[in-house]
Amino acid sequence: MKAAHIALVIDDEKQIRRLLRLALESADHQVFEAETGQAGLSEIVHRRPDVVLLDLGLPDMEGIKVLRRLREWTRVPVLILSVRDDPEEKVAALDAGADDYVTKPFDTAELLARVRVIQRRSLVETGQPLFECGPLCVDLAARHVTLGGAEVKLTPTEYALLRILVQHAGKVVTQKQLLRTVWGEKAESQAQYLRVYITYLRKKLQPNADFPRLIKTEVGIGYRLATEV
Amino acid sequence: MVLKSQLFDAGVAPMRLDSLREADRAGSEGDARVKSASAKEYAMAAVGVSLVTLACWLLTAVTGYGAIALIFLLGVVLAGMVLRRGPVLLVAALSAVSWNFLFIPPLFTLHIAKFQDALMFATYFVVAIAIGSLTSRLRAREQWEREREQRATALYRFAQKLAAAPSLEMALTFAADHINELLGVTATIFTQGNVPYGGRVFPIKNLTTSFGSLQVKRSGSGTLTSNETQLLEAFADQLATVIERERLKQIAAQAQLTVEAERLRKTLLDCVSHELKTPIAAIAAASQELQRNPELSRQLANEIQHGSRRLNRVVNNLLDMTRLESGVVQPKLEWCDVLELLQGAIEAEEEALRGHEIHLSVSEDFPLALLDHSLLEQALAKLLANAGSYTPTHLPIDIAAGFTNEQLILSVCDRGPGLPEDAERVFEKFYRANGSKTGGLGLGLSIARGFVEAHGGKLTALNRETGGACFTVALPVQQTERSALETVS
Repeated sequence: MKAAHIALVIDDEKQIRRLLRLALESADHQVFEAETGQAGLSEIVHRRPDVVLLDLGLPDMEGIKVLRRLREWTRVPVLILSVRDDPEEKVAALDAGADDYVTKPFDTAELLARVRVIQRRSLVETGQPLFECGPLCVDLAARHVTLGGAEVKLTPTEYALLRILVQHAGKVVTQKQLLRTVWGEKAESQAQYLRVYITYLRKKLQPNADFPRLIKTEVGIGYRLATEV
Repeated sequence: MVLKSQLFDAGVAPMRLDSLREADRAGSEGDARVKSASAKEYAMAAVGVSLVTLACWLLTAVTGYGAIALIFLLGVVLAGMVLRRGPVLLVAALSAVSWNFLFIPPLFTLHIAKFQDALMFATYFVVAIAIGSLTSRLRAREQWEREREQRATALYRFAQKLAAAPSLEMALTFAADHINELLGVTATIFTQGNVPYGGRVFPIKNLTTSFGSLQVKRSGSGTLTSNETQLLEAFADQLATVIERERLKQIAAQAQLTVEAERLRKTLLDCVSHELKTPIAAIAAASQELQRNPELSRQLANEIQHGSRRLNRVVNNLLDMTRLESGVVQPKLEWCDVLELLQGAIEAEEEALRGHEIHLSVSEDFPLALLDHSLLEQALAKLLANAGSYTPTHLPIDIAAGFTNEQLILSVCDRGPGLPEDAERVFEKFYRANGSKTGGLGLGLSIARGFVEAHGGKLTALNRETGGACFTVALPVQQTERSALETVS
């Protein structure tokens, strides 16, 4: 039986590669491995993977360099694996074109969910205007938001914020990206606006404890809209 | 008695210094002019003899020339009390000659006619010389005693000043100042390096070790008197004692530090090996069991997961501690939602807080604060983990936030057994409360404090009146009202 997707794992730790192979194969991926950045880059050319899992600490070159090199010619989805809990490193990787990240030690279920999300074509690409997650339903075409069937009234800023999160649902969206899109280039470092409006948005989308947490904060990085609850 | 009163009379130091200096000067002048035997004193001797002779000349008619000898002898004794040895001898000789020349018949010759007069003259001469030299020797001795006493006093004051100094550097400065003030010189103390040329140099050393040098310069061409030299030698010895004592103190402190470091290392090793090996043992045993008993996979996988989480927590704590100790923790300030920060910390410690109700009193429109979200959230999480593990199940944990005096105040209050008598101990590394139920390195609160301090804040612990402990973070941060940030777009 031929697997649905091809995944390339670039990591120097054999044990991690072995475990990722087990997990990815169980999720219907054909898995190739590379131990170094150089080998990884040439494997991308040869194997044409549908998703790349890239470790940031490689023996021959830094993972972020590998990422920049491959972004020069391919848009293949890249998931960063990192041992360091350092937001700056992750933001740098996301700015360099990574699609998402997981921190080691990672939860396999979470890892597979990330792999699934970054491979899915975005709503814009599929021309699908409807986003649904639990009680939340966002119709991008009609600019209409409902929660448990009831209409939610959003201000233009709140809506603009929600729209970007919906367009990247399941993926982390950096603060910079959100600020730039909603408030413009000049506001890129004005995180305080984001804090205030995320609070408003949350208040409207999860009015009490009975509603699930839809917008998750990634401290120091950005926000992530849940795709399933 | 004089010495004693000077020793205990601390209030009049300057006067004493002056008096010492004066005595010192007098002594030094005596020293300097001992060879020229003070012409003034010789003159005084001559004048004295002349006056006594004149008096005798008037008395001789009444008393006869024999008693005159006793008056002259009285003059010699008096001279011995005020003059030096040389002039006294001059007085003795002059008075003998005057007596002979002016009183012993035949008058106005040095010839003595009668044998008994000659005998009297000879006796007089010997007695006068003997009294003269005895009294002046007595005086010299007394002078020497006084100088010694003054030296002892000066030395005592010096030692007292050195002992009062809070550090060795200060002691050396005090010492130099003291010498300068006392002797009117420029003193410099060298504890390392070469002493530049000039002045007198006194080695600062004990029997075995040299600690440096004391260099003393006197402005102009003035030289040091022997008295001053002796005093400075004594000062140098005193300095040697002080420096040596300070060195020994440092060595003792170093040794104490080494012992403490050794104890800490041992605790670290014991603690870390226990905390690392326990989960490893659990993981290893569970995975082996998994191979033998695949039907137990669910429970065993749970064990493995539990073990690896614990391992992860230990490693993270060690890494945090290392980061703090190497001083690389730098807060990255950003406008943060404090409520979100607290919720993040609560979520992160979900497991430790299980079974506890969380009372979170933070208003919804709490201002935004400029701080390092991640750093503070981790600190709060440690406080929550601590509260969770010491509060009995089903009792609530209270979290509050507020702004006072431009400071963000966050508090986590539990209903556990409260703090030990010395509350600060809970922030020590590897401190574990007696009978604490959970495992762990005992690093959590120490790390929390480290994070808060790296952020320029303070973390303190107090017992609540109602039982339990309260941990309070106070951070100087900027705040901004939410309403000010609403945008129209």
